[in-house]
Amino acid sequence: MTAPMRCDEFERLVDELLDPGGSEPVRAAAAAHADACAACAGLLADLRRLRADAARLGTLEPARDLWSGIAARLDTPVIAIADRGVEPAERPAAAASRRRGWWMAAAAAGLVAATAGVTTLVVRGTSTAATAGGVGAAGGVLANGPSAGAPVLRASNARGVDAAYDSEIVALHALVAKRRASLDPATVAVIERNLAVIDTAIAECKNALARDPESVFLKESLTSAYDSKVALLRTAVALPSAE
Amino acid sequence: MPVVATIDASPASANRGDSDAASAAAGDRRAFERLYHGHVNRVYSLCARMVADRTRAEELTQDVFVRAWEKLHLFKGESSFSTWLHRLAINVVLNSRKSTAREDARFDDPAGNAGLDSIAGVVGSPMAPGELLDLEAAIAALPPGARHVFVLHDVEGYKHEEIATQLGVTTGSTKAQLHRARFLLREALNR
Amino acid sequence: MTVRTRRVAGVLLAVMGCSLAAWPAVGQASSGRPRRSAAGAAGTDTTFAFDRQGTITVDNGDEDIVVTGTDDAGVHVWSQSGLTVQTSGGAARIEVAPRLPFGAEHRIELTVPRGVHVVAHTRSGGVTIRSTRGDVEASALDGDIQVRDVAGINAQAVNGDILVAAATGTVRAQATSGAVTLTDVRGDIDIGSVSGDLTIKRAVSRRVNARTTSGEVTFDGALDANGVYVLASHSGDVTLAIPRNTGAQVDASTWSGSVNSDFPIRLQPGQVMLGQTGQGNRITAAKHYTFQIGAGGGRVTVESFSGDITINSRG
Repeated sequence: MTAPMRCDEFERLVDELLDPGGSEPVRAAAAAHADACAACAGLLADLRRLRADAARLGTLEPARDLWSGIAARLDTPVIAIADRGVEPAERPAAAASRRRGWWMAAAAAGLVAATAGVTTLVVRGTSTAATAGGVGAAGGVLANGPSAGAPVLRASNARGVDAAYDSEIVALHALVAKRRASLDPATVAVIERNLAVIDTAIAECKNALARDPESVFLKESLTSAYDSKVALLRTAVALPSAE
Repeated sequence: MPVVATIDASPASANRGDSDAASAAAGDRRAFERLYHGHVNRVYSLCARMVADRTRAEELTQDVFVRAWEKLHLFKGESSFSTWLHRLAINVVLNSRKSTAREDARFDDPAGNAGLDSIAGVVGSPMAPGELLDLEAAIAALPPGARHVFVLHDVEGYKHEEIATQLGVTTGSTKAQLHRARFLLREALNR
Repeated sequence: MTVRTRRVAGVLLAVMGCSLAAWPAVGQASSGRPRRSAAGAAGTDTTFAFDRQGTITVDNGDEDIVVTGTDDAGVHVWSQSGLTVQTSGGAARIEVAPRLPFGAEHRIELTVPRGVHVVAHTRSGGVTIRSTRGDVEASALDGDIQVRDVAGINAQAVNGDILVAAATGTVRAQATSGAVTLTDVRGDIDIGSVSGDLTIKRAVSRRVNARTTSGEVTFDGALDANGVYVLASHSGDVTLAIPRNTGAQVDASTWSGSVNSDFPIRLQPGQVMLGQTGQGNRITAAKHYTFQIGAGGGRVTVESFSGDITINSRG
């Protein structure tokens, strides 16, 4: 016959009575001891109450809102308009030209002609930007409405879309970089902030396309986001210089 | 009156949280923010009780959510998002110990006095007769090793096997630390 | 509306004898010149005859541009800065001098014959054009563009809102950080923003293209039976409010948003009702719905990557 459990043994094994599992004979012996020993019964009761109280502890709340700090760390890194050096001072005529309808200057400089070749591969039927030709055309500048619903040339997959836009975006970034020093910093900040918004959209579309690569909607969403990026970079290229 | 037809294109599951997790994994920041608001208190509670330092707990809570955002693509849906996030929080807290001199998580520290918070009523320190500690304060005053296991087991409900795996120790160690924690707390609370 | 624009607009409209709160009512015909402070010795206060078929271009640095159409046959120009006015045939070009006199108001005001084509470019000022009833082109880097009672408009703002009311021609407006709001437009619409809401109210248009990346899109108007309408946002909600007896063919797509409709949805053979939602609790496929409202008619495409799509019935 097993000797009755001593108090020091009970103290060492009391957790067996508190937690599930464990050896059944040990639990039985410990329970029998608690029935016979008031002090150990008191110990068991205290620990049971402690365990119950711990399980009932409520949630704590931080003293301040933590989201802003989290969000700041989640933000997509700003796509900086790379500073490749100070642009030599422009001739007065050129400066005046830049002030004159700065978005028109993009067309005048042949910017669109230089980059439109790539864009037309995936251009949407619906115009999303004030591109060249939308301003000042003879015979009714505003005669041509949007061609919503026109056929869209689609790249077969996200990678194809990336490739179609990459070269144009790189070219535009290079053009902007040349002018960065002459641009108003506040306007540059607005452009950069919005490029980040678009880049987030591009990333989200790509993530979704990874799960549903056949989705026409997602491909068009990605294309639309790229269109927006190209349009914004063109806007940046054509910005008037700060005086 | 026209029939109102609502097509909810979100997943059929009634678990909005896991739906948000799926959306957040796809890059939906708004969904992730909803997840944050739904889980921040529980994550913060775990951090605060584990490290016994509310300011640091706030920093760790932010670390947890940033890490969650980075790792969401690994959330496969085998468990609920809450469970996944909680385990991630434990990892973040435990990994943060290495960079904090105050936190000494060595299980072979018999006294376990390293890193005790300097608050009145530190377990093991003399106290005025009759002075009682509430449970939160008492937990905060535990030695780190004992505190970690007590919080994970008795407060958060993890099993010894799970705790041992996360802490990288044996269940024998976790049981010993839990035993120690319970007795220290009883002593502190019964004063 | 930027703070500076709001303040300047308040000054301007006070001078004009109108209240800021009455902006929607502003723009009524005025054949008289508005009261304003003196141009000053270095300023401009001049009038010249001008053919209403011509084009007036106002190109300046950082000033507010206010153009009002009148029944007068000539153009009147006022500014506290020295302006260079060049006229050639049917065109007039007005450029501001590089430096304003100390304390000068940063504003150029013109009254022009109705029908004139107005081109206005400014950097850190706003552009306000009303009652010209001709085509308008406007751009602003850091300021709002407000246009009312014109024919067509082509506007671009980088950091500012674009507000168009009562336009009878095609409206093209692009904002980078700013909202685009159209009211009572009777012409084709092509508007967009990166960070800003797009709102179209009481439009009578056969072609609408409204796209924003971060912002909501709202269309509240009639649908032409032969019209084509595209309303899209990446992360914002898209709301279409159309008359109760409208017919339309709707194509709705979203990745993580919901689609809600007041209208009974009737599928025709071959139309898609439900998109798959994926496995378990993870989205693995976009949702795409095509359905008919009423007897069908105008083609409506509503898209949002992560926002909700709502089609409300009016009346």
